[in-house]
Amino acid sequence: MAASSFPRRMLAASQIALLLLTGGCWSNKEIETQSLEIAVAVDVPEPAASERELQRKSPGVDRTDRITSTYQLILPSLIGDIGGSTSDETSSSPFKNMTQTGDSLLENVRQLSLRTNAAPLGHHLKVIVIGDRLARKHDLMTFLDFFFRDNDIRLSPLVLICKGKASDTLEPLYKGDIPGFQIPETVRNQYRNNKILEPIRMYNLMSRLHAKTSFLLQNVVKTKEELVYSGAAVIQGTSGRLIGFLTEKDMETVFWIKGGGRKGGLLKLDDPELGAPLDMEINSVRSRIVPSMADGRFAFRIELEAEGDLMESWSYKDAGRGGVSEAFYAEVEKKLERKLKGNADLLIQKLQKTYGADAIGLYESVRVRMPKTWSRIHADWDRHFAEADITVSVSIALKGHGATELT
Amino acid sequence: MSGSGVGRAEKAWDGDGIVGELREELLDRLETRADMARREISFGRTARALMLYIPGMVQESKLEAIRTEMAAFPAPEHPEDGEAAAERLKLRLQASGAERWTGGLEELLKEVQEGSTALLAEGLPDALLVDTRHIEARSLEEPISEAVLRGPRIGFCESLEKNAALLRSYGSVPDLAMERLEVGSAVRKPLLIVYMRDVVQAGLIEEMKLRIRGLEGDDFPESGYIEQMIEDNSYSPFQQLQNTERPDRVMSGLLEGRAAILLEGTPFALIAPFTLPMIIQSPEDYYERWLPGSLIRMLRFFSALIAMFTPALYIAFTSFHPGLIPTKLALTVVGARQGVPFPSLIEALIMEVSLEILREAGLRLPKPIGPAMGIVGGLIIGEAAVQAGIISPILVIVVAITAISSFVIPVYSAGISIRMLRFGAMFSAAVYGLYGVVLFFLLLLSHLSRLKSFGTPFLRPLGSYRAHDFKDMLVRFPLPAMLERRRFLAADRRDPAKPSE
Amino acid sequence: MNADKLTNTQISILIVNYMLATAILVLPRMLVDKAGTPDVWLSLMLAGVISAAGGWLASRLSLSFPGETIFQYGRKLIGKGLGAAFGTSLVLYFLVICGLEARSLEEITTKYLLEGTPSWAVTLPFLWLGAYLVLGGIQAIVQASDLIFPLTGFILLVVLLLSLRVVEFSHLLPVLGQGLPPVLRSMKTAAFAYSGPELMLLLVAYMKRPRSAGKAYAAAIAICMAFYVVTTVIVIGAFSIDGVTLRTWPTIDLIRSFEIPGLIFERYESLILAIWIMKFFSTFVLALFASSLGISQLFRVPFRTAVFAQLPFIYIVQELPKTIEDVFRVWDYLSMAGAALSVGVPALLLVLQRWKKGAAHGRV
Repeated sequence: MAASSFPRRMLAASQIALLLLTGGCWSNKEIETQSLEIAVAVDVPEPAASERELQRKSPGVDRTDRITSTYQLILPSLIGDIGGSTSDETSSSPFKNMTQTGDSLLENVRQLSLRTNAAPLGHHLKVIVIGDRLARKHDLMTFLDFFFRDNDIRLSPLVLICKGKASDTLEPLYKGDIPGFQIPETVRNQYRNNKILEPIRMYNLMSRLHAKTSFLLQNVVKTKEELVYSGAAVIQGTSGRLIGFLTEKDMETVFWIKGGGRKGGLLKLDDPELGAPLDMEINSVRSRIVPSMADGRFAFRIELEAEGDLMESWSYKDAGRGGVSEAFYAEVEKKLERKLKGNADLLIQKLQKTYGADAIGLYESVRVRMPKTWSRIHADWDRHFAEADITVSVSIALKGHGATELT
Repeated sequence: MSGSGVGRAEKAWDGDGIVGELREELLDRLETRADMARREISFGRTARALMLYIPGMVQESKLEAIRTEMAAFPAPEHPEDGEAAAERLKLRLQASGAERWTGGLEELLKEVQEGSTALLAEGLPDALLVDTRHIEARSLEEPISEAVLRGPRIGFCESLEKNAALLRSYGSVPDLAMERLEVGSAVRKPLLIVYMRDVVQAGLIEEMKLRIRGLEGDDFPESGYIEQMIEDNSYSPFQQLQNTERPDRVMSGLLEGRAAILLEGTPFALIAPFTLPMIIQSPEDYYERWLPGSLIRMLRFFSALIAMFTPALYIAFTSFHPGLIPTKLALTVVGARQGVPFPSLIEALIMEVSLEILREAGLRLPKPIGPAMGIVGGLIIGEAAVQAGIISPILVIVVAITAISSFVIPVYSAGISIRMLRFGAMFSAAVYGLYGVVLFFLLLLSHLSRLKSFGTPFLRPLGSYRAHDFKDMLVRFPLPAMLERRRFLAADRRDPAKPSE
Repeated sequence: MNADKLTNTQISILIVNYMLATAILVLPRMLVDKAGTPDVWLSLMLAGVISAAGGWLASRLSLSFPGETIFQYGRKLIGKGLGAAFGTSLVLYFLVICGLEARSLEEITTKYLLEGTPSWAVTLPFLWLGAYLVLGGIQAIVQASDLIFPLTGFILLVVLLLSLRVVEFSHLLPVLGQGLPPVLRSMKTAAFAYSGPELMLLLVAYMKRPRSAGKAYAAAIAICMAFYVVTTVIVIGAFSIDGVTLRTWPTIDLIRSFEIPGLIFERYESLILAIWIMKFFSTFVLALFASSLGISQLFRVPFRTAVFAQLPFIYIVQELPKTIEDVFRVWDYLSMAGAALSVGVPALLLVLQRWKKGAAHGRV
């Protein structure tokens, strides 16, 4: 048996060999010939200085200006040599930001290949920053479509809004800073405060945009010295556009309403009666949202419960014998509750009246508990939300006061 | 009187009897047998006898015994007494294994060539053939290619007798059976098939004998010849019989129901059937306790995979899928590859081939230089190549890991298989990237799934979900759980005569 | 073929490998498309039960003709002409499955792994490799699948566990919010996931204990069902019903949705893709075996020839659908055909056979 199948196998083997030799490696592209695209910023069209110069020198391109994208590329040539010469100079800023304005994102990216020998590799993209003016002008889904379709770009990049020019966020803050890496890593500090939203990544974004429900998108602000996560943008479900912003203060309250038991946030009180500011560190938060409907009008009852410790007090009064008193606790609790409820009411007001968009996701409770109703009215949800009757009730329990016996 | 030289012989035997008759013929035949010693001894008072033997192939002590006996032996007075005398002499020397030779002269001389001693005595009608065979064998040493940290340091030697004795003396093994066959047409060599009567796989011995009897060849200098000619598939990169110098390996194989082949002239015994998991097994796994034994075996398993696929994966990821590796790693690789003029396949090939050359060279060099050469070669060439910008430092690491992993395989010949396959994987990766690596893996898997060793599927017991097969696959269970003899071969009683494809 | 018979475990593993291929990559989307609700995993469970019943039927049918495959006993049961016709339609069915698996493989490989490579370069080695294994007979196929299963299953589980980090369980609610109709609507699509009973028509002949074939099949269904349900739940949990309908291969995108910096591979899609190539392979191989067996037994052609002769046709089938939508449409028809062939027809045949037996007894 072996003898007779040998010629046959040789035939098959030679066919394969022939195939390989004639064809060669088609998809072969050495790693050092490509640049890693780690961040992209998209803005309203505003050609960069270098672009304008290019235009002057070589006019007559078949392009209108619809969108400006800035790519943060890690260029292989900038990474530095092998062998002994590791050192600071090589690792200082191994990237280059390249701005391109054009009709579409695909075209912009392809244009880059005219400008650099190292074609960008989208696989390592970590963050996409969207300028707020662009987001107001267009439905997010339109210009993000490219990122969804491209088979190299994954669904994992973080998405952020920037109030101002998005491309500024890609500028390094200090020697050695690579914003494309820094920005996503900062998001992980979320657990230490309650003002940053859970990171929204492309896969999240895709679902929400397609569902046409309103939502919040984290905002970053760039000053000369710093890049700060601050506030959030309200994206309207029906249009997919940015319609406004929530402040940091609002974000705190959002965190409360969304609940989720996140630790580490704080609630502060600056009550004239107490005489000095006082902070409570939140140990756990529970939020219950109960929807109901009557005569075509929705009503929500939001119940917030929280537990925490007194973590900072500028009045540090000595508790005296008997320790911190129950009465004191009760008083503080009540004041905190009132404060929180006030904040929440303000937020709801803002969302209902100013923006008319259910950006905090109250619709979830309707979708889950009243699915038949939801399927009827979901296309028009924001309107129903704006007309809904929303009440907030808060209950706070102070459990401890840290390691000191002061109040 | 020493009997060297034709002239002397002529003078020596004037008398009657067998010697006188054969004198002419004998001289003629001894001309081309210069290595055969002819010694004349006297017995009785005037009788002479001739001893023919090959010095170096005979036991001195037995020669002495013959001389002693002859010295005290009375010569027959009359020709009629010759028969009785021959009988008597035979009885006297029977303890040394004497026989009366009734065949022709040529055949007698052939026997002498095999180590016996011929005694032609005046007055006796027949010659006597005494079994004095004794071959110098080297003393038992630890096998070089199969060193273990813990375990007996005995290996087979080149003498079939001694090797068989080694197995017999392993312990009292009443069921140990040995069957003898001969191979080779120009150079006939004995061969033993060894097995345990009660456990051996049904049909295995018959199939083995069938295949061995069908062997045609002038000479079989090493068991490797036998292996290649009786294995199921000589085109496979994997061996289907195991070769070992260690008696303990052979014994444990026999207890599992396998059979061994011992060949005269080589310390390497063959064990069949052979299955893939045996490649990563070593006797030490059993001598050490179960936890280290198991973990180390798993380590070997991963080393085998690493040795085979690492360069291919390097090629696949750097040339095809830089997006699939962590970003920081990608940056490192890019940095490392700056200035390297070759695509990753060529780079990897250069290094791997150089390493193989070094390895082969290291085997031939005299012992003191060999290891040093390996280290020096590796370090200096690698370092220099990196400095010159021919290869990237990452590749050096990849190649080093690959090389070291391949040394972990306890079965040397399998290590060679894996090294070869590594190149196949590399080429596959160079054309198709990760897809190529997977295809190659599937190709291997398909080939191995089809491969049989004397009827046993090569991949057994991998893929078996029977509880007791797990006990010795990747993990080695504590001994008490394993002491029932591993039955997978015996229990299945597969028919080894079915060809492998 | 070989004298050695297959054990129940081996049969189960074969079936699992056969079923878990393309389906699991696209199911979440297809189900949600039809149903519009996130509780489609219920339909998966129901469809599984039905498939198990189908497998049981097919096994019982084969039991009446011990040692023979459908191709052999077909004509005994319903006459030479009809038997040959049924056998041929089965052969064609398997052949198309081969082509479609090859096509799915090609789509995924050229899309996610090798962008510049021409499709024939991707497909041909795959076809040859499959043929190579099939030539080794059912024994070789079983041996390979016994190894592919734990490898792919384990990695799939690990990756699914890792992907829990992107799941929001609220996306899966409400369950039965719209009642039963959506679940029932998506059951037809779910059937696509469980195409396998037809294999029992020929595998039973190779079993050591054919009486428990039905049980072996049911065990396989249970395992598949577990994988399907878990995967679907996780995919929908990550993308919600709105997101999942947007992606062509949602399961792959699931794995691409997260990065775990620092944990060896940061990105796990390479693992999944590699595993999936193996899974396509095992399905392809089994289907090729089935069709080759059919051709060889129906038309008295040596097995080897049957295998090689089909390769060009498989290639043609693979090239035929123009767009990916066409591919999925063919899958749809194919799964309906499969259901008919594997559940409907055996049911009829069983009835026929009982009636014949009854008649025979009656006469005596």
